[in-house]
Order: sequence, then C-alpha cells, then structure tokens
Amino acid sequence: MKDMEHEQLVFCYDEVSGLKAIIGIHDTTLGPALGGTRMWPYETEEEAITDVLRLSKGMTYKSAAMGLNLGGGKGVIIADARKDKSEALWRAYGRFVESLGGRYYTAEDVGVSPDDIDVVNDETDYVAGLWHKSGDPSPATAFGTFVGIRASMEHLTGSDDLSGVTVAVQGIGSVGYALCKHLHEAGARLLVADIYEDKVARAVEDFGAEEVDPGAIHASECDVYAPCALGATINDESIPELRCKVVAGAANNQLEEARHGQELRARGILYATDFVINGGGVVNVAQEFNPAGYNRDLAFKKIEGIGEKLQAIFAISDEENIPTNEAAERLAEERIAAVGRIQRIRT
Amino acid sequence: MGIFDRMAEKGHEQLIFSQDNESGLRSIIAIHDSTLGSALGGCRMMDYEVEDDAITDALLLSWGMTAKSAVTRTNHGGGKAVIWGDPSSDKTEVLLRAFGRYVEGLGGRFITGTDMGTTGDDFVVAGQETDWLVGLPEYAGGSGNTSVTTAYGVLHGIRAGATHVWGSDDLTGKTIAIQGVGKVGEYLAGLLHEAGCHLIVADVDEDAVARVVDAYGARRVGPDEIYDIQCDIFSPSALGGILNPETIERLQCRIVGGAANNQVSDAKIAEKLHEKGILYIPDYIINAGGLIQVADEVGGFDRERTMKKTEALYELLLDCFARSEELSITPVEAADRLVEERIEFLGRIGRIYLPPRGQ
Repeated sequence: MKDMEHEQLVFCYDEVSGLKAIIGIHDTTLGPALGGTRMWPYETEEEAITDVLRLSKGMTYKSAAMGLNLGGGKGVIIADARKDKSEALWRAYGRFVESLGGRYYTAEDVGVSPDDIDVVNDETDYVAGLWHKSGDPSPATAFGTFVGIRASMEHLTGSDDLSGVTVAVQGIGSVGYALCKHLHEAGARLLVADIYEDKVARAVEDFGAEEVDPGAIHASECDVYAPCALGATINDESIPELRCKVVAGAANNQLEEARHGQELRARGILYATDFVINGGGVVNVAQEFNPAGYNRDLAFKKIEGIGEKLQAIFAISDEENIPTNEAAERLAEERIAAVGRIQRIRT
Repeated sequence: MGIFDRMAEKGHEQLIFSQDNESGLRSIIAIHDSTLGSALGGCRMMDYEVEDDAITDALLLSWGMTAKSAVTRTNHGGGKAVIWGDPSSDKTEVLLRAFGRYVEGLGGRFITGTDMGTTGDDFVVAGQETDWLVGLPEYAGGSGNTSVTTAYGVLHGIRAGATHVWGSDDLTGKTIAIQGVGKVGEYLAGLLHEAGCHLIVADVDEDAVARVVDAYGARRVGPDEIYDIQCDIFSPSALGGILNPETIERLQCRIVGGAANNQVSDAKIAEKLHEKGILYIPDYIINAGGLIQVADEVGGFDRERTMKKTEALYELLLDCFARSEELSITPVEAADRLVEERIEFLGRIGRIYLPPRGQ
C-alpha cells in the first residue's frame, strides 16, 4: 500500500457464490472511474492485484487522453470464465459495484460477456456498454484505429490518402476485421495474420488480403504495422526486425516497456500511442453518460477527433524530442492536473 | 496468506484500501457482514509496524462488531476502519477529510466514529466531507461521551449475572472487585456504590483510585493483587486479555463481568471459567452500552431511548445464560449462537419482496 498511487483497491468476497473480485479505482479527478471487468483464472492473488492496478491506471490515461470526463477504474474477478460463472456470482458482484455508489462504472472485458453484464445490471445501475445502449465497442475501436492510421500517415507524408499504402494487421478478431474493412475501402493493401485459420481466410476472401505467418507479421515490409491482438509485441526482439514506418494498431499495452517507445523513435518509426489510437471504444461507451442518451452518430463524430489528438501528440514529440508515448502521457497528466485545479473554483 | 484467504476465514464481504498522496492517508475499511444493516464500527489510528498488522486489526475488529451489533439488536452490520499512521504526528485536517470522502464514497454502507487514536473532534473535521459518522461530541450534534452509558450497561449486566447465580438482582452487600477505574470504571463504581455494594478497586493511576476511595468508600488494592481478592464479582474494566490461564486460577469470585474489551486471551478461557463454576458475562454484550448509544445517533439521538435499550441488556443476558444452561455450552457460545441465528433469520425474512416505498 505504501507504493500505491491509486485511490482505492476494493476486495469483494462472497462465500455463497465464491466471488473473489478486486476493483481498482486509480483516479477520479475527471469523474467516476470507468473500466471493464475481466474474469481470469489468475494463478495468484498477487497477479490479480498487479493486473487491476495496471489496467485501472491505463483507463485513467485513456479517458483523460480522449477528453472524457471519466476517471480510471477496472475490475478483476479471479475465476475461470468457462466454469465458475453463475447468476449469484454476477449479482453479488453487481451489489458490490452498487455499494461504491457510482464512484466506479463497470463494463465487459476479457472473459465477461454482454449476457453476464446484463445480470450485473440487475443489481446495479453503474454499468456501461449494455447491448441495448452503446453495445459492442469493437466497431468504434476499429474506426478510431482507422482514423489514427490516417493521421499517422498524414503526419509522415502530408496526405491521409491510404490508397496503395500497405498495412500489416496482426490479429483479425472483431476489431481487426472491422479495421481491415475500413482500410480495404480506403484502398489500402492488407497483410494479415492470426492464429485462427478461418479468420485469415475470411479477410483474404473479403478484402483480398495476403496471408502472413503470425510469427513474422511484425517483420513484414509495410508502411504501417497494426498490432490488434496481443500486448507487448513491441519489445527488444521485435524492434530490430520491424520494417514499417508506423506502428499503429488497436491492441492494449503494445510496448513491453516504456523505453521501447524511445527505441521506436530512435529508429524513425512513428508510434501512434496505444491508449490514444484505441480510445474509440471508451469514447463510444462514454456517450452513454450524455444526458440526452447514447447517440451513435455523435459518438463516431467524437471518435474522429482521435486524428487531431494524435497530431497534437506527434507535434509535441517532435518539438521536444521525446517519444510519442511520453508526450501522450504528459498530455493526459496535464489535463488531470488542470481540471483538478479548476475544481477549486466554487460554483 | 492472501487477502481473499483471510477474508474467507470469517466470511468478510469487503476490504477497502484507500489512500491519498497529498495527505499521506492510508486507510483500510473492513466490512464483515451487512445482512442486518449498514456496517458500523469505529476508526482506529495506529502506527502499525507493517501493513499486515493493519489488515489483521481491521478484519478481526470488524468481525467482532458484527457480533456486537447483532446481539444487541442495533440493526447494523459489522465494520471497522484503521488508519495506518501515528495519531500524534500524522493526523491532519486534510488526512481526516480525505478519509471522510472515502467513507462518504461508500454511500452509508459503512458508518464510523472514534476508537483508539481518534477523537470526537477528529470526526467533526471528517464530518465536513461525510454524513456517515457517529460518536460525535454534543457540540456537533452527537451524543457525546459514551462512558456513562457503557457503565450503565455493565451495571445491568452484573444484575443479570446476580439474578442467574443468586436468584435476585439485588446487589446490596455484594463485594465487587473492579480492575481499572478510568472513565467507565469510575462511573461504574458510583452506580455499584448506589446499589449497595462493597467496592474493592485497583488501578495503576493512583489519583483515579484515590477519587473512588474518597467518594464511595472503596478499598484499595495493588494492581496485581486484585485477581486474588475474595469477592462475589470480579469486574475487569481496563485492559483486554487479562483473563488468561494464569489469572483465572487465582480468581475467588462467582461472576466475572466488566467493561473491558476482549477480556479473555483466547476462547478456551471462557470454557475453563465455565468448568470452574464462574459465570463469565460475555464482554461484547455487557459493554455494549457505548455501541447502543452511538447507533442511536443514526436516526437522531435520544438519551432516554438509549438508556432503555441499554437496560435491555439485562433480559438479553438472562436469555443467554438460560441457553448456556439448557445446551450445556458457555455463555459466550450461547451468545455466538444468538448472533448467528439473528443474522440467519433476519437475512431470510429479507427475501420477502416489498415494492419500493414512497416517492
């Protein structure tokens, strides 16, 4: 606890359903903490704590960078999503979320389905991303990533026209596939890789993509490398093998360590910081907080703003000669500090 | 052991770590069981050596509060807060107010007040950020000092013990050895004197002893001598853990009943006392007057009602002793069963659906 920079870490336990959940609230300067809940069979409690601390902090930066009035939070449930789910467990979890009185809003994440979140919603109103509201965030995340790729190319070449630009997409799940569709329609040439053959086959057929071995996709000769699945794909081993001009994808935590951002910069590779380019999903869900209710057109209009946000980050990075991930973090921190300060003005 | 393993031991619902960089606040709020109502429990500030000690304290004390609230029929669950810090140097307005905000953030699921290391005035400060406080001073709309009520409850507990052992609650002529005549002990001495008891008192604080000797004609003995005194009732009203394998062999009384918290060093001691034919009045019931008083603040404090509820400890303890006899278990076990049953039964009637009230 001595090293904790988070506001709160809440352990929730229910004997009957076997629920073991940890809710992390990192920072609520900008508003209630928003972040999905993940169900994962963590080997140790320590791993679960590390994950929830890391992920909730990530949400603070993401929401801050997106200009949203939301703080950062995250929930983790220590359980096996294939066999430990029950109505009682989700409802017990819902009651604990409710007990935080709206300081934390949850949503789905790895291991948690829309149906599960519906059950959580039986016990608490502090749930975002319900299917009948903003629903599946994947199309929004994909659209934001597409906008981010255009902005990155514009920064590099002065034009956001993607016709003839080669993009290597790693991972074509729901976000990756939707991104490929946008890129294909914009005239880009696609290289794709995924561990699932059927997903690759679909992208090849629908978008004329070329299949690449999943282990070699990062090393493809291309303009843009777009990691859209795993985290930490930018690391000491992969960086020397990169043959792209831009790294811009939808995955979370793309850099294994923060210093890898500096190494990309040293090699002249433009890095579209992950928590900015993949912020479409959270921008989409945040529109549920709009008093007028969720509006998809408005949400996508806001997601287009990711382009300008990246441009601003690239400009700071160039001006001050710092890596883009550092520039992005600084912008987020400055916004939190500034908005925190203006709250002193009594209204 | 991990946090969840420790929570599972006694079935804790929540453990909430809260911190604030500005003020250096580090606090842990434990909510043990909220079946009967919002969790109620004091906030202790202590300079724990390690975080683990703070966690242990929060878990154990909140568990104790569930039992205390349940058995005394205050419709509250059990909770406790600890602030990890030195009350003499780390306590600042910002820290107390940051703590207040985190209490407020629980929306009334947890209600707190003074405990070791915190004062009523501290909660007047914290009260600028949250409404979920009790045990406030009278000047701040609270019920003030709880010592009188606690002593009053102990008197009724002792009367219940007398009824059970001697068939009458008349204490005239009974000899009572009081260990500790601090705030509560001194009031208790006054009440017992009025009831016609002979008093024998011990305390490390000479002035406190002198006051009781002068006012109530009490006989003074040394702090260690008090265990060996021939008496009807031994009343531990100072430190915890004083009933241990060594001291209980020395006791020359029929009843043990006093205001101290955690009087037995471990659960086996209560059994030993039972075997020796000494009636041990469960501490968390007999000293519940203070809790009854602060719990009454939640709906608006009324002294008369508080005293009435405190008097009810008499009937409650008679019930507890009767069960103990009927089932051949110690009064502590009987009390624990009362707690379990109450939580179980009231938890069950909560299933009866009611449409939302009003509005």
